[in-house]
Amino acid sequence: METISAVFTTPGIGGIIATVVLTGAAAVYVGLIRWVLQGGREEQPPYERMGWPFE
Amino acid sequence: MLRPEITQTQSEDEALLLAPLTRTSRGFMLLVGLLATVALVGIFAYIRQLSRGLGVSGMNRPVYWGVYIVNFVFFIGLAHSGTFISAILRLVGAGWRTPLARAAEAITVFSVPFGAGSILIDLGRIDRMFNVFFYGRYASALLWDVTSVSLYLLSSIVFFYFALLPDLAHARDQLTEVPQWQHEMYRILALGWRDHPEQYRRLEKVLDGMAVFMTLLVVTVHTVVAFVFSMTLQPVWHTAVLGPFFLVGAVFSGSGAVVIAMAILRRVFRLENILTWKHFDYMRQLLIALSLTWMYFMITEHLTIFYGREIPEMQVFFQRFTGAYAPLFWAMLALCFLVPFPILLTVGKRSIGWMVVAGLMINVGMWLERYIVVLPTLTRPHLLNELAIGTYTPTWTELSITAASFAGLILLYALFTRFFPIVPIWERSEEVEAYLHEEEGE
Repeated sequence: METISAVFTTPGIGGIIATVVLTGAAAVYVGLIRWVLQGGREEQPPYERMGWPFE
Repeated sequence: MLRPEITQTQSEDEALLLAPLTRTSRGFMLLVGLLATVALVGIFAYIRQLSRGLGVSGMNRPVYWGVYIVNFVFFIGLAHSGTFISAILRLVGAGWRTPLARAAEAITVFSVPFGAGSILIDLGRIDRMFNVFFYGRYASALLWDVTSVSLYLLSSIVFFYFALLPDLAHARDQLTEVPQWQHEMYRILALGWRDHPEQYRRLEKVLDGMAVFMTLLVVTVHTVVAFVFSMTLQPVWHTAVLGPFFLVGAVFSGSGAVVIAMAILRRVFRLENILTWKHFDYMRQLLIALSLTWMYFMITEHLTIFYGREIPEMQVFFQRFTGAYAPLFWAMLALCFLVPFPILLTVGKRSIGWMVVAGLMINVGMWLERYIVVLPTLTRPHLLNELAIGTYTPTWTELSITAASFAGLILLYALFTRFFPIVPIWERSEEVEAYLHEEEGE
């Protein structure tokens, strides 16, 4: 109980919680954008995915 | 790939939606000039406040919150329109929301920064905002606000950007005549979108998932905004009804703003075939429902206070009904309900103009409502209610910054409509829709 109370009352911990929530969300969103953009890339042959070097 | 089918069936509507991205009218330049001037006056007033301190505002003891906090609550509330129309109506499968989703989401994305900015302006010394992170205790509702509003801003931008991605690619591929920098902007922002069916399928999945999250967030955010007031023991603020009341008011003002934006966009960009009467009628019905819900909370709140008869609460109550704030209170009631509600029921049925009038009234009224929430309590706070009566009059600094915030919001919105399609093109594409339904096995 005291530990829970300390989380809410210790100065600075609030900032850490807020920072973790925001950076966590940002990381999830970056992951989602990458996942959406990669849609269909699996069907492409590797040389197309990486770019044809002789063009 | 979907691009060939889309271009083959490219309708006049689509050309109409892309047309504003290729030209700048004289009216647009005038509007931008006017709004930028108002914004500059506000920036000057803010710099002056920064150098001289918050003494240039009307805030004093015990009235330590003023117009800036009113603006904070109002702008965050206004932002709820986008999330409501885009996320909540997406969840309930209201297909009619599609053409107006982006116009509403843009209000969200551009008004949240002004809401959050109002708090920073209210701080006085802006460098002290970092103290919230360094020394903040999570027992404080202010820190809940920082977390939820920041998360809401981030999530709204991402949600907005996701739905914009295919159209950015469309602009990149279709608009070859635009200036080089503009084309480059589309190219960078499109992130290499290739119009692959699998991308659309994944995009829909992400938008559906985010709609659930955004719905939770929209309820949380405005409830937490209300907690900043209701977690204190001040008269009239300390009530559980404040959270849902704030939320309903937020969606109410936001929906009014969407009607205004829809009408202007329809007129300026000649979108009569896209933003049809049907859309306005749905919004009218939504506003009627929200008006009644808002009034229900208004009566509940005041009836409970009146029956309690606690002295500090009654002092604030009478401040509102018959005291110093009575003219504003009754004006607010007239603008939020007594006038627009009959308009929506009668002439609003046949006229978009009247609906815009109602939307404007609701927004002015809702700003006043936030004013009425903040000020009467602070002029009669608990500890001082027998000893002193606070006073507050906003100064020109606060009014200039308020005007600049509104001008800034409209300016950003106008610039967005100049460079980006304000109605989603890809969500209107029958080919994309047919593909997605086929994937779902419908």
